[in-house]
Amino acid sequence: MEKTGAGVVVLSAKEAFEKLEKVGEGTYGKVYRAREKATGKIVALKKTRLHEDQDGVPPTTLREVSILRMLSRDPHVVSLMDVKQGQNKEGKTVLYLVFEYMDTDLKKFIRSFDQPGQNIPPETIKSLMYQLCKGIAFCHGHGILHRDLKPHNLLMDRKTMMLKIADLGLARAFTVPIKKYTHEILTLWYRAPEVLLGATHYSMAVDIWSVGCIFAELVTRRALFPGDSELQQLLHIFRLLGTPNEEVWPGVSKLKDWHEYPQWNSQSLSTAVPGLEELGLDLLSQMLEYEPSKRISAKKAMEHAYFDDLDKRNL
Amino acid sequence: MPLHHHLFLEETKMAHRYPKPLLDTLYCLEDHIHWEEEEQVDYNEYSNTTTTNTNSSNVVLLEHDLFWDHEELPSLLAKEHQNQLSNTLLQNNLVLASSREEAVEWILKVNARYSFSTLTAVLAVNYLDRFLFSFRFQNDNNDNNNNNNPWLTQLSAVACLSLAAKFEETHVPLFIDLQLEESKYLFEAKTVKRMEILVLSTLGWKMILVTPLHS
Repeated sequence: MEKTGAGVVVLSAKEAFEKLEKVGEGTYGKVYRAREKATGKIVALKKTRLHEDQDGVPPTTLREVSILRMLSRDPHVVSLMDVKQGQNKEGKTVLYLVFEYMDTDLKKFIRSFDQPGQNIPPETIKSLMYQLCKGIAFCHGHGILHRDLKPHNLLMDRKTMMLKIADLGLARAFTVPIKKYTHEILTLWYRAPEVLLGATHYSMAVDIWSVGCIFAELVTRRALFPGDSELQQLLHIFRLLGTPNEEVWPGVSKLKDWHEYPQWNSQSLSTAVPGLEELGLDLLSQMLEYEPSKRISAKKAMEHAYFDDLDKRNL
Repeated sequence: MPLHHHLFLEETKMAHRYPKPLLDTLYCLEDHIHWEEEEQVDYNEYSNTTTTNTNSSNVVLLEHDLFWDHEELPSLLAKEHQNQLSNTLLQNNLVLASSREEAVEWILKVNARYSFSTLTAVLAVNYLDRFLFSFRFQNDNNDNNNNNNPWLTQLSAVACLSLAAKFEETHVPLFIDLQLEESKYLFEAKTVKRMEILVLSTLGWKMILVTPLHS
């Protein structure tokens, strides 16, 4: 009655790859740098163990693989090369996602500029931001929200300065209207205010807010809104952009987690992001619009005048 | 109340007296939505939300489903054309057609029980049909006796509904809870897990249904 094997050949991941070193922990498991024995190619192996306390394939793995199968042809989304099934030392089933290898991520890149007064060159910031907008526009154009954009999830090749979006384990395919989602764990610093205030009908705008926070961080090398709780996160935002009201954000006071907050007036973005040119500040302000429907789209952001003088031929 | 339930079952049986493409499954789902609306009490049995939230959720569900129906009709018609081969397969294998019919009926019942969205049911039936076609085709070539194992179709249905729910729903019941609905077979969690992986690899992990909104 329980016979399920039927002529499917499973090639063991252990036989196909040589693990070189562990390079990180993904959403659901460890990530290794590895060499494919047949070709000598260096890849990233993301290991997902199917835990006994969970029923089968985790939703995050299912979504990540399915979504990457659809998105991988874009140069700014990390390429999933294969999915392999194997067994670990205890005989448990393990899935290996085989990705192209990228030698760093945006978080490490930002931290590498660690001397006082040492900033990331403006043209580098512009190129990285354009690639990020382009990758997100591609995801959104295919009906995919990322929902966990942060520097750590943006992989980079140091030589070519190419940027790729990764870790789509929390990503969601959406149809219109967008369905209600759980209030899942999401890195606080890059979280949109509507999510913090309990909105459960997400839109593409939540990713754009994250992009704006990353933009500011590229310029200043520090997180724009480094809250350590949901309330502190909101207060960080309100202190800079002003406490929202029904005038600037119709409907805000009806959101589930809305309360009375200290009343701040908005400050100029240039005080928080010194050194960013006027056009960059304008683009940033449109990414950090309170009202989600007024936030700039990724596609429109690519057309913003801030990118006019960028050489886009290789991007 | 029992009368409505009985009517739903009768409609389901009539709708699936003969093997039908996905489009007709959608018609049945519309009946199901209507039935669900009438059975507010049953709905509350499975829901922790208040009556107000339940009504709101219902409205959202219906709006979503109506919108979905409208957009998907041309795509479903095109898909029906693409499914000619599947129809031929079902016509040539009455045993498979019968077990598929039972499996689809089972998927729809569980979908209703847990108030999954229409899209979840459509995804599950899509996975099931693609898997049965691909899997059966391989076995037909190998002249394998598994052709006539109806439990295999039911196990496929459990795996496909689980995968669809994981992809589309925010809360997914355990394998054992998913199988509360009456069925001839009850599969262990580890068995369903293995079938999930088999379905995924057979379908190349291509689990996002292509629709005009995504093209």
